[in-house]
Amino acid sequence: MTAREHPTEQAADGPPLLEAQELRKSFGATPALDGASLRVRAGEVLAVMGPSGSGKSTLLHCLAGIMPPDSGRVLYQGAELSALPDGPRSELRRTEFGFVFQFGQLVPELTCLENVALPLRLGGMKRKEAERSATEWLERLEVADVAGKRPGEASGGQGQRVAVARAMVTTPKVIFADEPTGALDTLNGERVMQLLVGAAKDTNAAVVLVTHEPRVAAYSDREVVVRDGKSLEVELSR
Amino acid sequence: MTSLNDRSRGTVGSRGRGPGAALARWVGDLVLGVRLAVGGGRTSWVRLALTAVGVGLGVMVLLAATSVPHMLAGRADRGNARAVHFADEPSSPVPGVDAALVTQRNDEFLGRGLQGYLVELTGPAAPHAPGVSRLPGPGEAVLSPALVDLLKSSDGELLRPRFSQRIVGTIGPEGLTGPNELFFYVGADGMRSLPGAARISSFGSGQQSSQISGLELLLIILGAATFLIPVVVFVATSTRLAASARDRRLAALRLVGADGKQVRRIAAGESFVGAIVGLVVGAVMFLIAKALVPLISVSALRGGIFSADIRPEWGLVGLIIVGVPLLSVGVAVLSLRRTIIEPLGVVRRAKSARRKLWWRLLPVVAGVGLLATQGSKFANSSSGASETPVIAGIVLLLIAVAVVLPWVVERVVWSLRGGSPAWQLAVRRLQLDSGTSARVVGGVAVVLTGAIALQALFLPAQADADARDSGPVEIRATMNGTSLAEMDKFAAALHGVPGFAGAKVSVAGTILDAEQKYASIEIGSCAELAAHAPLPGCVDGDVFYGKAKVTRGNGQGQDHGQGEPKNNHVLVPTAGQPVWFSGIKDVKASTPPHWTIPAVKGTVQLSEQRSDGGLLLVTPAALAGVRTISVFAASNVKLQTSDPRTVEYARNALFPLGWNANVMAFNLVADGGNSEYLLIKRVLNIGSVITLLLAAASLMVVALEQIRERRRALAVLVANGTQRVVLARSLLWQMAIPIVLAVAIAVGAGLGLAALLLAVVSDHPVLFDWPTIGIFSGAGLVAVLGVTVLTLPSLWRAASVEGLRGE
Amino acid sequence: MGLTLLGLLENGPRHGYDLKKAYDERFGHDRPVHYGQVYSTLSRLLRDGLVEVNGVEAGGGPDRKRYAITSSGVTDVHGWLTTPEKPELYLQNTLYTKVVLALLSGRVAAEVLDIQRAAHLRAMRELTQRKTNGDLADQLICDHALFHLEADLRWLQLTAARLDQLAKEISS
Ligand SMILES: Nc1ncnc2c1ncn2[C@@H]1O[C@H](COP(=O)(O)OP(=O)(O)O)[C@@H](O)[C@H]1O
Ligand SMILES: [Mg+2]
Repeated sequence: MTAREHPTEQAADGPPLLEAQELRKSFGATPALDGASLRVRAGEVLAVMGPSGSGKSTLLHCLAGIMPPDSGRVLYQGAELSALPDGPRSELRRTEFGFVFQFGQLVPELTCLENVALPLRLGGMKRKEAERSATEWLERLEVADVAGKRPGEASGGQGQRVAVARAMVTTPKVIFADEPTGALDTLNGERVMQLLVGAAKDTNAAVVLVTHEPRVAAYSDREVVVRDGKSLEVELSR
Repeated sequence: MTSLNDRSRGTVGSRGRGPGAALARWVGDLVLGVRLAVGGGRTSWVRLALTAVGVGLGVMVLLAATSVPHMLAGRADRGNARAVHFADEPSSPVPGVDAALVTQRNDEFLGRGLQGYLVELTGPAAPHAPGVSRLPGPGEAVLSPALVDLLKSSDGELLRPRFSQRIVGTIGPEGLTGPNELFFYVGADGMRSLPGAARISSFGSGQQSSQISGLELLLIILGAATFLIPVVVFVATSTRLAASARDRRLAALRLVGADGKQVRRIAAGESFVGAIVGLVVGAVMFLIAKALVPLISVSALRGGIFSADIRPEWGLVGLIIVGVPLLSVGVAVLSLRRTIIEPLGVVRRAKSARRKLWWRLLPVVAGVGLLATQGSKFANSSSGASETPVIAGIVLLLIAVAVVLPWVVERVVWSLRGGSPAWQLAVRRLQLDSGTSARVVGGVAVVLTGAIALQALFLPAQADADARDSGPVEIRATMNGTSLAEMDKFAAALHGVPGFAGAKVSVAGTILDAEQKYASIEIGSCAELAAHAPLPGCVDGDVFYGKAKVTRGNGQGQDHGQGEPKNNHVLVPTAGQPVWFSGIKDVKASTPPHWTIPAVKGTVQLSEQRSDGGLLLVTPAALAGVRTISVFAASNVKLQTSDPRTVEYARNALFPLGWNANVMAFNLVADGGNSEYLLIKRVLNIGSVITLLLAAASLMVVALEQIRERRRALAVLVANGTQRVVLARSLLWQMAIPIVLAVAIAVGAGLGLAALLLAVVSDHPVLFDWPTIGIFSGAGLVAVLGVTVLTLPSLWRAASVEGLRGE
Repeated sequence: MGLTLLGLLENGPRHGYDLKKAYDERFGHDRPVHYGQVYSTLSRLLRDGLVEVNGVEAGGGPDRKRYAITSSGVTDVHGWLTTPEKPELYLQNTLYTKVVLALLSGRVAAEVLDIQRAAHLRAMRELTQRKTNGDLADQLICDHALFHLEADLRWLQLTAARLDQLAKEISS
């Protein structure tokens, strides 16, 4: 009835889009990850839960190639991420991944519209075109009215939605969200989650959702619990 | 933030009555400010350290500047103390001192000045020369330590032949103007007959230092203002590091209920700490620099500077000690307007109100007005009364540059849009807060403005020096002698040096009659003398008198009659007249005449003009049998080589002839400095460079502070896959945009200031030295580039994963 | 049920059948009430004087009566709405019993908690799904359930973090 540690292979779903194998990472003497593994399939929302300090963010950073693990492998579409040099890895993050963090992720001096257009422009898109897509995404996330404002002039909920728009604007394959509602009240948090998950489903993007809030995790399709740097997943029979 | 609120509650909440309570509140607010400055953990310490270093650098430069008068005075005093008064009449004997015969020699070695005295003692009680325990006898020498070192080093190889004497001592610091000065006392004999030798009983002259002319004074004022204003700007900027973070903190205090006055007091307390620590750091840096200064041997410093000479002027030190904290507190308090009026906007990083232009133009108007109305008075009078308005005008205009620049930067930055992401990041960043960069860059702009204005002022003075510099190396070899044989040896030795083979040597002298009337003579073969005028039927033994060419209207006195000199000190030679050779000591009517002028074979017309009306042309045989003679040989050679050692070869070749032979090279004069302009210019250039470095350093400090403040945003950008080069480029733009604007304004303002000064204050034509302006502007841009490169490592560090972790 | 019907009648008289439809629409969710249940409740209310028959449709059957609320009925509804519900305390929660039993029998108590957490989350996930597709009423109702489940889940997480402590106390 139960399967501890790693989930059983679900052959029907094909190979995972993103996979972590036995990741270990220490900061000095503190082990943050101690053998964490997980799989993310295309289009699925995976919640990573666990108490604070358990290593969730570290796991996310390793998965996204922001930080190399001490040992273990991260495979994206079958290729090892940590083997890539910095340049291609940055490009991968820019084109295939999107990020939503808890707070303070928008460039404070750019307007919301420019913030959303930035990833496209970094990819070489013309300003007009990039800002057109950005406007579409802002509309979709119901924050078109803050387009010309700076993040400091928008509310927390609006800021997070702008951040979701920025994460989505490149139509990434994986969205990494680290406590995306952590700084928001319930209502705004719900709205951000609905919009985030809805947008991801529409574009068939996978979401790695780090959270310690069960209600946020309830937006996922599947959850992995991180405890003391180890990952753990429970399979319930129906 | 909560801890901040807790802390503030004690002062913000308490509202006692009475003067005691008010004072307690005051102190409480100040203490809170102090605690904000030091009590915020690592971040506050880093900020405090940066502020302290920034203020410290400024304080160090200010202290150094206050030391300049002492330093110059010390050098001048010691120079005067060893000076010799070369008067025609011997100085009155001092009882108990055996007078010495002294002549001064100015030499140079590979472009370094080399000076000293030839001395001949007449008895055991020789006069005292400063720093010298015993003056050298014949075959002995006393040298400065730097000269001793130079002789020992491999560089000194070519110099060694000139100092073969036994070294019997070194010159102490009280006899030198600087630690690296090359100076010597060489013992000699036979100087009685040496032209130009003085008989002295003591060294030292009560001479006044040379009077500074109007234009020179202007240069000094402009230079000092140029590099002191940016230092002050720099100090002010340093105390406002992390201004936006600090403003937000203070705005938060304001939001929890502090009133405007309290916020001002808290800010005052906070910046006061930085200023005080900065003063201490500055004093320490100054002491370190003082200890290191003697090691510097830049030729511009002419012999270096004694550590002991660097003594700040105490009154000015007091001014610095009081002024720097006042300045920093004043700036902190004055710039709080927005924090007090709209704290919410500050906390939320909203756009701020545009800067106002009108008051920024006041110094421009006042400065131009002062210069335009008062400048001409300055030009016409040499008294000090008219200096103040001109100084004020210059200072106002320089301040205006620093004051107008933030407005210009803001306006330009707001009108910029579009561009690459890097450009956009930079522009938006500047739009949000262009004040800090503009303030720093204001310092650079002031330096550049001043430097450019100085260039224009220097140009008239420099024009002929440049003309000379652009030609080939010109060498002038000279020798004083007491016999024609010596002159022949001189010519032979000179002709032996490669490149000097055909050099023309002219031998000349001056004769005096019993009434001290004088005439010039030139000695040479008929062929050599024919260069002055055709000499019909000349044979060796003949004497001709050449009359100078007559010119009109130069008021020199030879424009009457057929070259008949009006000047009644001039001797018109006549046959049989007894004469004495000038330049020999003890020329008196009582001594027997040296020579009797033979029959003059003819009077000829010279092709040149002369102030003494004529020239006696003498062939060698006419002087045969004359025992006492004083003549001077000179040869001017234009060399096509640029090898500086050629000159040294010539000097060494002439060395066996003694110290009477001298070789000078004209455009190798690296520190000849016969022009006061050169020295002033050099000092000011050094000052400008220091200030530019200072400005670059402060630019860097500001950049570091901004990076630290934006850590999280940077880290998120990198996490999102932003290329590092984009971030680097954005940093570069962020610094380059203000700098480019600063350079543009500085060039405009500098040229304008120079034109104004030259047109109104002095009547020189307006000329601009574009290459130098280019160099100064380029230096500003290079500074930006350098600062960017130096800042990159901390940018990378800030943009790492670390930045993603919560604050 | 009775009070709910009374509350619905406050808006105006209704036929018994309309009343059932209104109830189903607003509160029935997946399970519609039986008409019989409505009818029996209405007759009880009639007996107690909380409603009255307001009219009978001509030619209608027995269920064509129109009911209206009486003033004492209004008083009752008001009293009900302004009286707080007693907060329920689950001190004798079965989950707690399970955990203690697992610890006492030497089983892995964390497993009990993990499985329960997965089950809770699955329930929450379904509710979230329904909420996302439903209207505002659905959202409010689902949220109510979600918050309850979340409370349980938080308790599960906390307990999981304190298992060692609990084991020590039980074994002592
Ligand atoms: N850069 C770091 N330096 C030192 N310790 C770190 C660093 N990042 C994370 N840690 C430590 O690793 C552990 C896991 O951290 P994190 O992944 O942020 O946990 P979570 O996101 O689950 O709250 C914690 O103990 C934390 O203190
Ligand atoms: Mg975390």
